[in-house]
Amino acid sequence: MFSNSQLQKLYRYAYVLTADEHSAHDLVQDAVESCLRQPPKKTGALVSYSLKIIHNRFIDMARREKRFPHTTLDEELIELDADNLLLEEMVITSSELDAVWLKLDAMEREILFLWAVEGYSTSQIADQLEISRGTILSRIHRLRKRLAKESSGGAV
Amino acid sequence: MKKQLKLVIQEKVNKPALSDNQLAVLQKLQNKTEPAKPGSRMALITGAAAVILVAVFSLKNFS
Repeated sequence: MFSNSQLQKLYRYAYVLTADEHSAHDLVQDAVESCLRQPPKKTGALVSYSLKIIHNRFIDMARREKRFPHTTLDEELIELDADNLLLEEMVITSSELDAVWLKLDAMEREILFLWAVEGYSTSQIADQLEISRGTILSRIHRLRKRLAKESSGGAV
Repeated sequence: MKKQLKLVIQEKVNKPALSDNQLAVLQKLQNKTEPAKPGSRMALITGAAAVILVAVFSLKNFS
């Protein structure tokens, strides 16, 4: 059913969310079991289906542990599409990213993963996370600011 | 060295990986748990429907 490279992909996604090796492994195992019990209806959708399972399980898990922020996300849309383009052009060193990575919340890391690794557009990210595109753009706006702050040594 | 954000993220998230041992466990799990075959599921549903129909007709005739 899953090849080793597909399993690695699921693990990396789970690791981005949890930032913990054991929890990531548990999430992957859970997703594999879930797919075996109830395979996706659409053939060829195994990986995206599993990513969704991992995402939902992570939210359940985090809510149980009360780690997931329940803050209301504002939907400021001013110049947000421009931020998305600026994110594409942004340059950073790996140590600067390391410094900011664990300060980001799970959803911010997830957005960056889906954008940079999976190549999703803002609309696709919104579909995957089942939240509005406005919220994604708002998150990207804040992410860009934080990353810019980090890469300029704290001065924006 | 500064690089495009997208590339730096790709490099970062591609580092963590499942060990050979963890992969073996997951592959074993897949081999152990066979997904439910659509054919057998269909047969089960048809069988259940037939039992319900027989029960309904029996009750109707009885009363």
